[in-house]
Amino acid sequence: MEYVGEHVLAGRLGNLLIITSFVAALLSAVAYVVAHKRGDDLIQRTARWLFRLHSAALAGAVLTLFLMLFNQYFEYDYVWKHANKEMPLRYIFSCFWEGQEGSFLLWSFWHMVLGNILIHTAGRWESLTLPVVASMQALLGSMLLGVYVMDFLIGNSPFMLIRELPENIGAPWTMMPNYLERIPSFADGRGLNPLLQNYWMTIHPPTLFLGYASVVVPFAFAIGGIASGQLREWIRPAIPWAFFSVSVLGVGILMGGAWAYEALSFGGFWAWDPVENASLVPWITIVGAAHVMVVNQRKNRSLFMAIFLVLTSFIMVMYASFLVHSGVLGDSSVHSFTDSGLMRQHLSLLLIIIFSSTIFLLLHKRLRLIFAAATAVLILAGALSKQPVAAIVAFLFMALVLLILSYRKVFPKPEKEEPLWSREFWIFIGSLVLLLSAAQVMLETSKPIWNILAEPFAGPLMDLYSLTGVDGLKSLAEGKLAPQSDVIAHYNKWQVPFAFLVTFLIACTQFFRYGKNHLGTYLRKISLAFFAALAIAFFWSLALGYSGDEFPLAILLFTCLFAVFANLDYLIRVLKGKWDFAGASVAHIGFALVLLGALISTSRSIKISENTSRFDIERLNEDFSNNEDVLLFKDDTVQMGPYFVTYESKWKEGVNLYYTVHYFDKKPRSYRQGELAIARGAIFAAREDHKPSADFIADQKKWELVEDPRQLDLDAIGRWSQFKPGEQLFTLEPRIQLNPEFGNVAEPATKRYLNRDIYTHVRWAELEADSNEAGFRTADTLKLAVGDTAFVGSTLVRLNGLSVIKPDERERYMVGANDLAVRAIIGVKDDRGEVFEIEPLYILRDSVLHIPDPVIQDETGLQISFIKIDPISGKHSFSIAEHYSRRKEFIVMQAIQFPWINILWIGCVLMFIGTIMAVRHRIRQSRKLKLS
Amino acid sequence: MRRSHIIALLVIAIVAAFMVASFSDSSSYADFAEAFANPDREYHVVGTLDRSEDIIYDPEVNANLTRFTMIDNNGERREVFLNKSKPQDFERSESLVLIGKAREESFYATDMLMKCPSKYKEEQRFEYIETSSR
Repeated sequence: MEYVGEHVLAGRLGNLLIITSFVAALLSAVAYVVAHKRGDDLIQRTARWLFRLHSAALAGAVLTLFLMLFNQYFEYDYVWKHANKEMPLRYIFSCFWEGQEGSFLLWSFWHMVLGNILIHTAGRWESLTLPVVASMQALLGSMLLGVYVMDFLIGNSPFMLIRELPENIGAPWTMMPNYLERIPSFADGRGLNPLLQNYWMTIHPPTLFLGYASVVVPFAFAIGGIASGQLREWIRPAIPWAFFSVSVLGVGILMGGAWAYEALSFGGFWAWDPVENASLVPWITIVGAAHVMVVNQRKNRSLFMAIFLVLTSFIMVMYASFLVHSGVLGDSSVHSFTDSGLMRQHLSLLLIIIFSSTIFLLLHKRLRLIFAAATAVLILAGALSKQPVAAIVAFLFMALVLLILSYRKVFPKPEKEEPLWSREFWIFIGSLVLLLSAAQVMLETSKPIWNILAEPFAGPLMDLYSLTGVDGLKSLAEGKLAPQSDVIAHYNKWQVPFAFLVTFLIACTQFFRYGKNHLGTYLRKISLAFFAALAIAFFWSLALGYSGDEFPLAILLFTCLFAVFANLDYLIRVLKGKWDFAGASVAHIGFALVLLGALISTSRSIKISENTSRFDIERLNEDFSNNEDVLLFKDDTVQMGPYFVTYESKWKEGVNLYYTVHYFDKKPRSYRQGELAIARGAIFAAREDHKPSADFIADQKKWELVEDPRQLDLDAIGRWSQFKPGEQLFTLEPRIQLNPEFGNVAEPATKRYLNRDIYTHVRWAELEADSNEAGFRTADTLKLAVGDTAFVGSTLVRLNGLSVIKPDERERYMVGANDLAVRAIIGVKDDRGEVFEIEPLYILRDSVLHIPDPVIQDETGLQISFIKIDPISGKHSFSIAEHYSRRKEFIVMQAIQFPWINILWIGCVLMFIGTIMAVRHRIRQSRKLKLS
Repeated sequence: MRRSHIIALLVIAIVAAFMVASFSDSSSYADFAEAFANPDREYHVVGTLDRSEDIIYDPEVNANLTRFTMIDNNGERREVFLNKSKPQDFERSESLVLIGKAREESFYATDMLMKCPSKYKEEQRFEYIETSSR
């Protein structure tokens, strides 16, 4: 059948390119291995050309998907899901990598670019590293195939037509040749989630994925080195790449933080969210790896650590992808995950990488054979017994045991231990601390996975629970273990000491030389930075109030400052401004500043928005807090933290609703005799001129209650306050992005000062005006007996009485002769205490209920209908609606003050510059070595 | 004892400490029955919003309090007090995870995770397709 209007060619081309790229990568890997085995130049050249073919096909596939998005071929699933017509063109990149297929394509694209750089620069390492890169490309490519092999779907292709999706095959509409014209939904796509319509979404994912992809290079060098028996030699050419990973992955992660801070309303830049953690773990391990690699080149030390950390970093990259893409995290993250139905394939990918890394690291032939055979047995056993989880646990356990065995028995180790007071030893300790810190983050983030892995061991775990009484064990046995309720506090508890150790080591290790050091000389060198940091940390801690429970924060403050000063000192006194060697010092200063900024801004962030209404939420439950959000009525000026704020107006531009909020200075005020103020729900008049103290109660003698406030203009009387608004300081306009498709999104607005940020976002606002054509809000039904009262908005309603309309009153009430009519006498009292009366009617006309038009009370803006008489209960029903104009518009806003957050951003920039300097320095060094 | 042995022991001790701390700090997923059987213990309760009951959010009274009814996965309904302003698109939520404690007849949640359906236009599309093909 010919379909009308489809662009089939693009999709077919795309799929062809994906398959070509997959096959060429696979062949290239094989050819490189053969070329290396035989030392055959011709085969190596063939392998190179195969990799170039793969590169061209992959680039072609990327281009095809771009063109499809650009031309808006909505018959394609990927285009329909991620693009739409309204979206500005600049977001086309964001659409490209919004979905899982696109992000895999991006990741694979970076691998390809790095692979081509290796072909040109790796020299004799080309035939050893390229097989690894090409194999990875084949594995990643398999995630994009979208081909069925015996009922198993291998990968998801971004080039699928909607009518080709499994769930649509056989649907009646797929039989219509002109379905694209007939079904209007195909005219436009779903479009990009508004959260992601942001310039960060254009730059953050490619940077992060370049960071992820770059880890493959040190990994490839390590595998190539082990495979060719060059256990140490791979390290030198891999060092610049390891620092490149540190730099790019680090920047990618921090960009995510900056994005969260600037454009998402998570209330901060780092939330220990599983997705953030998943990217942090490989960064920490590659940082450790890069450091011990440098050590190993200077002194033949920490070889196992270097290899282990490089392999672990790559496994953690794969693990991050597994966590994010397989849907296993489920309920534990604010990020939404779409289950692509490829859980098994993602898992297999991860296990393949773990298996191959382990088998290379085992070194010894017999251990490798045992491992491979046991793995094969476990795969069979797992499949036959239908206990795959138990098999996976057994596999991981076996890998760990064999690795320890290999380290103890097979791995070459230097005869003597390194000297205690030496750079190499303390860098090794530092890398160990980093590894532990990464392990803590990883184990904690993996909680949903613990539940799955523990499933086969429910019995023994229950026994253990009855022995120890630890509730967590029972939860685990039942598969119900959940993250801590205060995840952030839990992570901080562990990571603060790690950060303390790491920054302390950064400070100390810089002044150590490789090899043996004289301790006395060393201590003299470092003392300047030490005492300078100690003095500043002491006073700053006092100022910040780090004491008692928070004492660990004071230590961290000190070590961060120590790290900054020691490296600054080193830069000035030792390097004397030799910038070529300064990369490490600059990066270390940057890192310490990032931690310092994070420490101060998060530990001393305060929510200045506060509930000031009469309802105290803390009385409801002691876990509850009033310090969350503030209610701002339009045009009211309210005290908030160190400011007075006024919500002035809202305005709409495009899809954004902006809320204009002005901030005013807080000035002390004074009251003059006779001045009125509202306090504790009543109105008071000042007896004398005075300056108010902090609490109204303390001033009570200076005030006199106004007994009869009826004659006063209540609008002109303000709440009692110690302060008054001064001059206007600034205006913030937090916004809500309206999106009926994905849900509305609040975006923050932040006032930046040098030493603090005021970060605000709208938590709640009435988006659709609740009013009918006549301007009334949705009516409430009230059931009132005679004498009952109720509030409608700020108006008090009372049913004063009922009476039957007498024949002589009929004309006045316009009631017919045959009608039976009852009038309700309702008193309404507005917020100034004025009382009005209205009389809605209940009419039975020829025994049928006839509801007359509702009665409107103009002063209070109430509209009342009498809808039911209930003689049995005595409670009669009225429908009452308030006029929209009676209700004051308001927003609910949250405001957080982050002190000194700029230290963090400065640190980010320094860290990036420093790591790039280090990469440049290392590349130069390896060039020099090549030349000599 | 060699220095490396001391280091290895320290590492093992720290990892063991992670696990113990993590277990003893952990919260647990539960249904309402379990949460109400152990009042004042913290739980994660998964369920859906009961749309037949009112969601009461009255910022004029308190901007940090939302009241609603949730149905847990066993179909048990409970009134919930949430110490947060009403989330955007709450009515549209697909599933909820409450984090908090039970007390007397109500559940007091200090935090809530909410999943919204991201694909609902797709459902719309298929509805349309059914009618259009008839």
